[in-house]
Amino acid sequence: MQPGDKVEVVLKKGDVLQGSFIPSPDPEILTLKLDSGYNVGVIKANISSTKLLEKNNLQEEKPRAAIKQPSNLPLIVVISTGGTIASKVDYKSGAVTPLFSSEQLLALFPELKQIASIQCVQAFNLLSENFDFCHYNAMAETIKKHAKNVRGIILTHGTDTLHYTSSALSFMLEGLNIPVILVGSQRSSDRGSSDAGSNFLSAAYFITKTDYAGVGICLHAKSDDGTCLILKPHNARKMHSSRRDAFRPINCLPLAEVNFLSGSIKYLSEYSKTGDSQLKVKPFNEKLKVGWIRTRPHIQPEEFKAYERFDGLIIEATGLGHVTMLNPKIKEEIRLLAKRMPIVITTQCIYGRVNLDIYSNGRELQALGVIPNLSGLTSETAYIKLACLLSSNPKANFHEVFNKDIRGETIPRITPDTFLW
Amino acid sequence: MVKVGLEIHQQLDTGKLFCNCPSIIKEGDSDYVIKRRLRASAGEGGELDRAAAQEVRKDKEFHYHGFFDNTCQVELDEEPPHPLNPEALAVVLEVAGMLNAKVLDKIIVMRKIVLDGSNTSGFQRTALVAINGHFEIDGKRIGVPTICIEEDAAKIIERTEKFDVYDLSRLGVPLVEIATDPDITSAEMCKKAAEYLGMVLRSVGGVKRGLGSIRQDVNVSIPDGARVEIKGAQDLRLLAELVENEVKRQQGILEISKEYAIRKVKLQAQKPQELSNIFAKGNCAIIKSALDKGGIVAGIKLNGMKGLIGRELQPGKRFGTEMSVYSKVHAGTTGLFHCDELPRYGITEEDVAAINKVLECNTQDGFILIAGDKQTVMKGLECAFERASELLTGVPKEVRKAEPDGTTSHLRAMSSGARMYPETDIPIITPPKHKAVGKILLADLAKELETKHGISSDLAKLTVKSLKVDFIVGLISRFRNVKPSYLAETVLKADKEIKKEFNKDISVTDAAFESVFSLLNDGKVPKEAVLEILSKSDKTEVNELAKAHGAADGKQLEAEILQLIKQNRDASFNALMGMVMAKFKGRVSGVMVAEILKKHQKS
Ligand SMILES: [Zn+2]
Repeated sequence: MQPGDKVEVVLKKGDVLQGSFIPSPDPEILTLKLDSGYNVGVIKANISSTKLLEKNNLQEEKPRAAIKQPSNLPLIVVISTGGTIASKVDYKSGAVTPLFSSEQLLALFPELKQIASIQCVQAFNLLSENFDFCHYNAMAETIKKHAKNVRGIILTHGTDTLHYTSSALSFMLEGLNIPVILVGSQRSSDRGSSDAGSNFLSAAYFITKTDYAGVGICLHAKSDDGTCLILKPHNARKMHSSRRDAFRPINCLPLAEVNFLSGSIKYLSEYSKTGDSQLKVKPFNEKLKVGWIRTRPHIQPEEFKAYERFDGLIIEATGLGHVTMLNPKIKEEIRLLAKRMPIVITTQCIYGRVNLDIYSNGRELQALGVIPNLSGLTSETAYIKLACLLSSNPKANFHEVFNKDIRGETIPRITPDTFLW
Repeated sequence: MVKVGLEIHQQLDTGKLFCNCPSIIKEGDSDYVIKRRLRASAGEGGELDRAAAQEVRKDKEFHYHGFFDNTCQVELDEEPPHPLNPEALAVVLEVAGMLNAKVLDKIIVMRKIVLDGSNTSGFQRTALVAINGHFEIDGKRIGVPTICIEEDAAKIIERTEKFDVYDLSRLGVPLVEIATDPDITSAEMCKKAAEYLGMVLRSVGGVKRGLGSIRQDVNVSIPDGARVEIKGAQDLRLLAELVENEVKRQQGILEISKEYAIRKVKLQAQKPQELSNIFAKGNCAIIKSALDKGGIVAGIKLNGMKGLIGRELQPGKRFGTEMSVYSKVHAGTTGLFHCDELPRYGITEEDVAAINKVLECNTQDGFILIAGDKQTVMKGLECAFERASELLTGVPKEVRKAEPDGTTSHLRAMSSGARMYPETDIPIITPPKHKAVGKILLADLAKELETKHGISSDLAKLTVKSLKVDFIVGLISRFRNVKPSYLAETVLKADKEIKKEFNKDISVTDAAFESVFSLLNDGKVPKEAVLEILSKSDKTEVNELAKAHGAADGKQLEAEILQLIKQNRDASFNALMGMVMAKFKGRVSGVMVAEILKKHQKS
């Protein structure tokens, strides 16, 4: 049987079911879509007979006529990497599949036609939790390839690790002269309530109207529909597992707020403007190993020892950046590791800055040779920045370079309005 | 013969279907408001779903009012659904068993696309649980092809031009949906079938009671007519009337279309004509107000329709009403005038003559008029004309709304099958092997109460309809020394009786009933004291109260009675009886006193 074939199934109890055959992941189960629209599952052992009523007249999807896009509108290149931003539903099989072509995207979000001319490129199709450094390199190269003669780039991305990618791309793309906006969605576009469309439109409005040069993140500002935030690439974090407004700025304000109904933009921070520099990609060393350890009560020395062959380590410590100094074995492990690799201390408080000068524990920790994250970076950005620095110069003096600003990621002043923004 | 099918939606009395919120409905000022919009999603081929695109207006905003008590992030579409509530499924499985339906091997939760804002997600979650059930009404077998479990939608509070307001309380409340085949052949049978299903649901228990907890939809068709769905009958008593009126309407439409065919004319598309000049100085208030606001009045000829437009289809509703409602729904008009009701409403005979002249109507031709702003009027006339020509070719398939007076009015065209796709957030469910718990049908229980326990037919019916039915049956089986009908009557009526006798508002608890009946069963309180004890049971423990009413010692009572008889040698039996009862108020039973009195008065 082929998907979509109309079949009649007679059950051993005598009941008859008619519907379209749908492939089932469970070999013991036959799944049918009844005419009423309901899917039902029948255990194959309970079936007495199956009859094919009508073959599915499979219609090849016709190549869609290219939608004529006005050439006077600014060009936006859309690079898709996967995730839920654009997908379609097949009501016959119930399958939800991603959309890639510009035509499909314009059909889904017809308002785009008034904002920009769109060109779609598929980099790969992966959920963002599957990303490695090699994917960052591929994305950066794709961006470089399309960055000429465009107003900006929209990169569609799964939300799980979107804030790692924004950070990574920002460090990698030296001399970026256009906005590159990462757009995610927390509700997939196969449902009427999806936030994909509004996030996408907001990014498109922002790109066509701004003089911002750099990487940004665009998702909902609130649980309500109406406005989206453009967040700086390094100082943002996914703060909720499922809400539309999951992405929040950390230790700073958002770059801007976009009303996706009117297209108006309100800037909330200073930002770097477009210039005429040359775009260069500084790739990640794909073989690099950077560890991450989260301290907590009852932490064991072996956990530190596990990283002895790594190239770098993030210790996500408590409070201002503290690790227990009562356990001499842990102290010794950290001391040994610090001799081999840069160790950056960040805070698991998420908000606020690391300061190892306040308590004796912090001072003792510093004496072991660690680098405090003094510049208010999130742990995620500290991790990416350390990997980036290790990739371009593994022999650098990380005590000197780590807290130096590269792309505006360091936060010299944390203003009181930034907490829980 | 008329064919009627029923679709019953009953709210279940469990927590919500896909989250841990209680399914309580709250009223008053909400704790928060969230504003959202819906988009048509991509259908096959990645194209915008055309039907969906029609349903959803891009500029429409939905305002969701919610309470923290009964809504969480799931109702707000901010968190994926939790696993389907097993308690709710258990109730539906029980219903399936009672209706002889077969539970499917695997239950697959679907998303049914709904874009009117009543679901924050843009779809309603629903799953087919059981198929091919049946029951009998008057010896006729009625098929139950499907039994589903689904989530209820948010309740509409207000519709405005720019936004619709919904209350989230009801969203996610579990529903069982029972659909019958169109095996029902009369209005009376329809009512009985709905009553039977209601009784089955109450027998199972675990269902909500009260207004709004059950909604009945009926579909009606007559030979040569068409399947018409009537939505939202909340009152069982209306069902028979709705069916009768729908049959009348379909018959009426068929007659009119036949008659029109005999007239050997064909409805011709006409251009609407503005008639504002005729009414410039007129007395018709509706038209005058429209003109004063800068609007117009216009009309359209309906050739050969004179006399048919005023024909009644349902009580108080004419062919003209069909046109009027249709243009209200689809063009936003406020109403129309038609030739068969004129002259009237301040429109004179001269006006009518003038209209006929402008519209070039001869004696057989009819017309309609609409007043308002120009765009609405033109669209309204177009819609009304469309409806007339549709009805002249037969009964249209459509969805109609049940009105409180038993009539129906056009709601929308029938959608071409629900658009559904699987809810991928909920794994496929294997229903627990359904063991028939052996719930007794309440109808059978009523009979048993009558025959086995000597309860009158009326009281038995009252008992099984009450929420306390299980409690009462339990009391009957435990307190064998107390008359079953007394137990039932006391539980059902104590609150009212206490109000009457002691002028006190109280809701006697089950625990209080239990204690009192236990004492009564053991002869520790007299029957006469029961109501008084219950009346105070909200403040004081029943056992404490009973002490004051403890059955008087038999010997002491006899001595007292002898004393009384001696002192009142001439008093009648009844007078003596009254004296004793007054003295031992509530502590002795009348039967006992009478017995002693009889014994000693003779001697
Ligand atoms: Zn909830």
